[in-house]
This record gives sequence, C-alpha cells and structure tokens, in this order.
Amino acid sequence: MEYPFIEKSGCGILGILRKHGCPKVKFELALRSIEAVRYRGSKLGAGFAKIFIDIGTSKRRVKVFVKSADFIVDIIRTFKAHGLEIMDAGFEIAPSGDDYGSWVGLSDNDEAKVFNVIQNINSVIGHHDYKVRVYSWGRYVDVFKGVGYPTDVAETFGLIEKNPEADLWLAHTRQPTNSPGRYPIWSHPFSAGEWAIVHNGDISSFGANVMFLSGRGYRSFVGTDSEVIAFLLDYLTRVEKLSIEEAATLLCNPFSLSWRLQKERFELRGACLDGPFSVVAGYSDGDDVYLLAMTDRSKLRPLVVGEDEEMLYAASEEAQIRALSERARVWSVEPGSYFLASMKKGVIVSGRRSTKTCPSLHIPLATGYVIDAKSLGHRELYKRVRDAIMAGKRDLLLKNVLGHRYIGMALHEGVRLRVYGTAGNCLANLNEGARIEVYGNAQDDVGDTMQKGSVIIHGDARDVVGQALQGGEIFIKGNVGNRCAIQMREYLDRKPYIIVGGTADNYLGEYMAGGVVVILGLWDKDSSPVGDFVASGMVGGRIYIRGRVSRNKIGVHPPRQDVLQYLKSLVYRGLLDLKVYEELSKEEELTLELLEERLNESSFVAVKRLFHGKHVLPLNVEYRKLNDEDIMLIGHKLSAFFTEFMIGRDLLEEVYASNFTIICPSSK
Amino acid sequence: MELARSSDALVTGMGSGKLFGNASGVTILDRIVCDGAQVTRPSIDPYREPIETGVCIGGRLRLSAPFAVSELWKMKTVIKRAAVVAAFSMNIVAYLGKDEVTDAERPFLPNLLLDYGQQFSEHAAGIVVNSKERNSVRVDTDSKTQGPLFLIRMPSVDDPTAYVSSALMGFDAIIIDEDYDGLTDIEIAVSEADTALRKYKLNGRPLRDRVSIMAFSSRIRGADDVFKLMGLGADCVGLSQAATIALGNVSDLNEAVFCFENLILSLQRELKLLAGAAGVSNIFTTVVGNRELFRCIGLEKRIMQKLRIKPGGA
Repeated sequence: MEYPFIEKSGCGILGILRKHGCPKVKFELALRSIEAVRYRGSKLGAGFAKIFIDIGTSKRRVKVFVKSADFIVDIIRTFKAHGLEIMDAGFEIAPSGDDYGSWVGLSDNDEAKVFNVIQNINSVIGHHDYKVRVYSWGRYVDVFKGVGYPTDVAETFGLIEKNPEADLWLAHTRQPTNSPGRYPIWSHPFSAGEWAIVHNGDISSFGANVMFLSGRGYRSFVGTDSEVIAFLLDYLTRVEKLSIEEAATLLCNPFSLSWRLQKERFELRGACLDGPFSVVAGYSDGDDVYLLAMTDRSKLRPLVVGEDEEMLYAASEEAQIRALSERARVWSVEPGSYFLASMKKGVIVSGRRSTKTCPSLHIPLATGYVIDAKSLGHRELYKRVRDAIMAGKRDLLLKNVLGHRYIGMALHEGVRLRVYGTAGNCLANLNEGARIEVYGNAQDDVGDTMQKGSVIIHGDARDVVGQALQGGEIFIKGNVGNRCAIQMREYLDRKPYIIVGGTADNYLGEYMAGGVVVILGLWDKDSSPVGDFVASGMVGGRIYIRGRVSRNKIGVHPPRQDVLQYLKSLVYRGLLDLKVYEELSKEEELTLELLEERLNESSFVAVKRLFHGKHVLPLNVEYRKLNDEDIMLIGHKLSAFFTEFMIGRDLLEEVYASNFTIICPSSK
Repeated sequence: MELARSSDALVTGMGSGKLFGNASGVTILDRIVCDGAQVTRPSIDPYREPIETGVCIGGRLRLSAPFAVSELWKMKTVIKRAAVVAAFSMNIVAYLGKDEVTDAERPFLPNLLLDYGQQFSEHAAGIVVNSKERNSVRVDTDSKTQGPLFLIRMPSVDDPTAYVSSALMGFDAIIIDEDYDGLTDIEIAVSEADTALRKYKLNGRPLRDRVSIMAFSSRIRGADDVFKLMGLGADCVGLSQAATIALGNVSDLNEAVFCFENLILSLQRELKLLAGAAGVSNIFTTVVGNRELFRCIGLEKRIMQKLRIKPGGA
C-alpha cells in the first residue's frame, strides 16, 4: 500500500555560533545542516549570512542586486552626492539577461549616513520593479542569497569551493508564502545594519510594523514580512539603543509582559510582532557576536536550540543540529520566548524556564534486522521498512535516523520498530498497533491520530505530541513541547494514555476530549511541570500533573486587573463589602470557585460573565494524593512507564507519595 | 438587543460576497472587508486561546477593550447612569460632556471623560477640550506622566493639518467626532489623521506614536465597525446610538447596568472573533493602522487613496 506524502513544508532556518576559543565555523557545516532539512524548502529561494569580527574587516560591504551593470554608476554617484565614499569591489555574480547580478561596494562611512543613502537608493533608483536593491551593508555581516536550493545558491557564490569561515553562520531554505520568490530580493537572510535574520512564518502585524518603520526612516520594503523583522531589530538596537534582550522581548511580546510593555514602551508599540514566526538572527557590535532565536506567543512554528563544547545552535529541527553534533544538548524554545547566546559569554538567555531533562543513557544497538537510514531519504526509508515487513520481518532496528519523517506510519500489531537517532516529524502517525521505541529524541507531531500500540521515547519529544490520539500509549521519558494531547479522545473500549517523565509546555490538553495524560516532572523539581493555558477548551478525559499547578495556568482567564476593577464597581455600588474586596484583591489566584464562595449570588452571576461564555465548559481542578480510583486508572501504566525506562522504584514511591493537580471537565 | 441580553457573541458568518448595508444605505465601512487568516497564518480560537483586546490611550490610560460610550447627554437618564457604571466596571470610558457627575457617580471618575471646566474633572480619566471652544481654554499639557489625559474633540474633517496642529498643542489624544458637526465620513477622517500624524516627525519620531486617536460616530453598529476603524488608525471607538438601541426600554438602573455590561462583553467577544479570524492575538499593537489586514470592495479610487486600503484581490 502506498501512502501519499505531503511534500510541502515550512521554511528551514538555522544559526550556528562558535564559542570563544573554538575554531571558526566553516561554511560546509551550515550547508550540511540546512540541507538536512531540504524538504522544508523549495527551489524558490535560499541563502546564507556570515558574521565575523576579524581584524582587518573594518570596511562595510554594501551588497546590491542589480538588473544591469549600468546601475553601478548611479549607486556610486548617489553615495558621492551625499558626501560619502564607496569603492567598487566588482561583481560577485554578474547580471545576465533577466537575472540579477550581485555587486559589492566597500565603504568606511558611519552607519547613520550609509543608512540614509541606502534608503535613498532603494526607494529612488530601485523604486520601479526593484531593479536595484541594496540587501546588506554591515561591517561584520555578509549575505549570500538567491533563487534555488541552498546548494544551488552556495554554488552560485562559489561558497562550496571557498568554504569560508565565520564566527556565526545563518542559513535558510524557503517555501514562499508572501512573495512569488522568483527573484533573489525576496530570499533570506534579510539584513539591516549589523543584523541578519532568517524567518519561518507569516506575521499578521506586518502592516503595523511597516507603518512603524516608515515613520522612522525606513523608506523601501520588498513586501515580505520577514524583511521588517531585520529592520525592527536594527532600529531598536541602533537608534533606540535597546539591549538585544529588550528588543527581543518587545518583538516577542509575551502574554505575561504584554500589558506592561504597551505602557512602558508605548511609543514603540508598532514594533511588536504577531502571528506565526520562528526567527534566527545574528548580530555583532564589533566586540562580540550574538545568536538570537525568537518564537511567537502561540509557537506556531518550530524552533529548537542546542549547545555542545564548541558551538551553539538554533534550528527548525533537531536533525539540523544532530547533523553536526551527536553530543549537543538540545531543547525547545518556549512560546513567546527567545534564546540568546554570544561568542564570548555563551548562553545568555536559554529560552526555557529550565533546560533540564532526563539523563541520557547510551543504549547500544540491539541485534536484529537492521536498516541503516544513513543517506536514505524518508521515502526510501519508509519503503525499506515496508518491504521488510512484507518479507515477514517483525522486529526492525533503524540506525542513523536523522530527522526522517513518517517513521512507523500506520503499522500493525506485532511489529516492533526500534529507532536509533533523532526521529523526524510525524513519528507513529496513524499507528494501528505497532510498538515503536526511540533511543534519542523525537521531533514534532508524535502519534498523531494513533489508534493502538505503544510509542516509547527515551528522550524528549517536541510540539504536538499525541494530537487526536485515540488509542494506545505514548511514554516519553523526558520533556514534551507545546500542545501535547491536543484533541486527544477516547471511544468505545479505547482509552489512550500519554505519560511524560519531564515537563510539558503551553496548551497541554487543549480541546482534549478523552483519555489520560500524566505529567510527572521527575527531572527538575524547581521548575513548573507545565506551561500556561493547561486544559484550555477541555471537554473530556483526565490530566494528572504532579505537584501544585496555579489556577492561573489552567484554562484561559480574563485579565486580573479587569476582574478586580469589576469587583471594585460592586463595592462602589454598595453590592460588595469593601473588606471582601480587599481580601480578594490579595488572592493570587482569582478563581471562579473562590468568587463563588465569597460573593453573594447576584454578584457572582454578574462577575462570572467576565470568565467565559456559553462555549466553554468549566473545569474541575483538585489538588490531592491519588485515590483508589486514580490508581485503578493510571497505576498499571505508571508501573509500565517506570519499568520501560528502568527508573528506580524509589522514584515511583515518591510519585505515589506526591500530591497531584487533577483536571477534568466539570460535571456541573 | 441580543448582545445586551446574553453577554455572548453572535456568530453571524465567516464572509460573504454581498455587501450588507442598512436603511441608510451602504457606507464606506460596509465596503471594507477583513482579509482574514489562511493556511500559513492560522486563525485563533478565542474561546481556547487568549486574544488581547486591551488598549492604552495616551501612554497611561489602560482600557480592557477599545470602546468608549459617547454622547451620554443624548441618552435617557437611566441609560446614561448605567453607562457611567458600566464604563467603570468593564474598564472602558464614557464621555459625559458637560453633564454633571452625581455624588453616587464620583467613584467612577477614573473611567469618565469630562469637558474642560466640569467639576471633579481633575479626578477623571480625561479632560476633553472641544475644538470650537479651544480659544477660551488654557491647557497645560507639558509632558504629563500622570493625572487625567488631555483630549481634544474635533469634528471629522478632510484636512490632515487640523489634526497635526491639535496634536502639536500637546494633547494626549484626539477625539474625531462625526456628530460634532463633522464635514466628512469618520472613516476618511480617521485614516487621514492617522496618516498625517505618522508623517509628521517630532525629534525624528512620528507624532502619531505619542498621540492616540479616538473615533466617535453614531453610525457605529458593532464590533466589526470598531475593528475596521481601528484598521484605519483609531485606538478606541465610541459607540452611542448602538447602545441606546441595544438597551431598548430598560427602566431599572441595575438591570440597565447589567445589560450595558452584557453589551460591552459581547462586543469584546465579537472583537476577539474578528481578530482571531485574522490571525491577530493582540488588537492594540497589531490592528491599529494595519490596513494590510483589510481590503475594500467597490470604492472610488479617491476614497481608496485616502483610506490607503488595497482593493479586494490585491
């Protein structure tokens, strides 16, 4: 049976930064890593940027796409007319026919002056049909981009042959959504000043961001949303003198800080980003080199970061990091957060509340029928697995797995698949009864619409684990990302289970309709086992979280200030005792249950309207030890989990002795 | 009226090729449509994920939603009294004009806009100077960081310089009021004011970034009109007649307050649905002035240029 594979995917992004005292990053590493996710891109655009602070690289490289060599005179004349110098360093790529050439000019003038000339060139000479486009002008930044896959673009610029070194490399492979992609002006990286960025996403704030920038000297845009992100970073750090951390916080605009930012950064409100994005950016102030990776508040695009002894990484998929480093420690960036590292300082902001996960065990390859996934694409690997099963094999070992997608899709009972390496997206989707073990981490979308069987992951899994899971069990020893158990359901005699040894990020159990989720938080007792908006829209099933979870993290709430203001209005109208209001205003968790307990009926009915309308079911949340009913429900699965991962009985005892936050829809 | 009864949003549809007008004909607002989300920028479900509707006026007045209740002096007493309470309880603003604040209403001052010279105005959310009385008023608006906002109320005019000169007087916000002898449609006036204030620079930064725009018109019918006016550049939109209609012939004050609150909550929920459908999770930072989220149908070129909205299909 053939399964149709959907080849379309999001863009692929990458950043690699060397650590101080370690060898420079060779271009071939960036190329190898971005080509590891070739399927995320298309022939419509790719590119690279290097950032370097060598001695002797003091002149800025003004790089221009031109439709004809005739425009060079105009460019040089415009520089001179502004009293600036520019030296013709010739073409990297000569223009031919309808194809753009890439010209390089060297200038030693200061940033603000050069910025103005460039805005002038791009908006005046380059105004019509972008026949001229200055796409990079930093002292420490050099951008190489074009139309094609990453390898094609690298060849065009002679990068494969020269294999240049840098302190930081960015890379991008593109799946165009906001522009046709047939010209290199629309390819990533986008650069401004000493920043270069690569982006995967489609931001809804684009129009507001363009407005903001056009009021502040940015006069020409190629029309893709990604470009404004480079401009915003440049503006906020160069003109407003914000630190990188401040600029990144403003761009990410996390829910927790949103209101404060709107007040404190009132005049910069047009710089906030909204809508899906993962961004990897590189920057240098001439003294140090920075790698920044940001993701949107809903985390609608993938983003992982990593670190080993020599380098720091940011990528769309873990496979890109594993293509370069088997040893790297890899973690997911949380929604609305950013990761920041520098060459000299190492990791500055991790992008997670905690990067701790389960201890990794080196498990040697078992004996059995081995398929080597090295140099196989996901289609070939799938075919090899299918052929082996058709030939009667039931116990298969897949080695050197590196982000291969669709492993173990729709396999039947009796098949055992052991995966060594990093399992790619869509592992065990539509599983119909197979046992699938991963010795390593798994990427996004594990066990989507799985019917039966077991998935055992001896590491972390990323976003959307167990989407629409309807049977069988998924055991994850480490952490899981965003939206675990979304739309999980049960029917007839099928009751699915997800047990996570570590932590989960936002939207755990969103729209959940059945089955059981257990989050154990075994590996870091100091950080919250779950992110925000737990059980939002939940209509069935049960969630067990070890430890106490603040009610503020469960479901979606009206802003606290709005609830307090409402209560205050009741006081002013003589409907609520001032003392009760004062007590309530000191409560950290202003829950409906608490309000019901403290307010009279009419006041409660009135304030309740702020919480939710008729479309949302209230939740029942308890904090207590497991009772007999709970143990009947999850005891046998917990034992299986501990046995599977060979975790000591003492920890299991500890789990049984712990209090749990137990969430299910209210029967009221 | 249903909004005032239930506090839930009415889900009416997800788009149409037809134009919906009312008895007075098809307005510019009717000819503006939301571009909406698509596969690479998915919609957000406001029942299960947060969508922020709060706005900040003049850098220091935080409202839970971009709504103002205007023309209170035209309302019958019970609705006016209810509006004052509901503005506070729902944390929006109500514009009382020259009407007096009763003793019972004094606690609600932090959410009231009063005309300059009215009693207690120093404790109000904002003090409104009417442009036609500007000469008789002396306003010290120098770099205030606390206390009431200073706002200027102007008729809707098709003259961008009028807005710039008002803003330069140091007001925190401009109220553009179509019913204050306005000479042009509120849609055009808001867009022109937004654009002019963005073009005018003070210390290298657009004047617009420090000055808020509020749009008042009795033509505003619901959350969709509010959403569209925000796209044209309004930070906050004033409703008047819509509230009067929604509350109908309520006669008891407590009931009127309850209904008024329902109306505001429903409009807020509708606004979240509209934002969610456009892939927007923060209305204030993302929608205000973001004409890219909208397209227009069947508008003359002259008006499209003033609105700066692309035609449908672009």
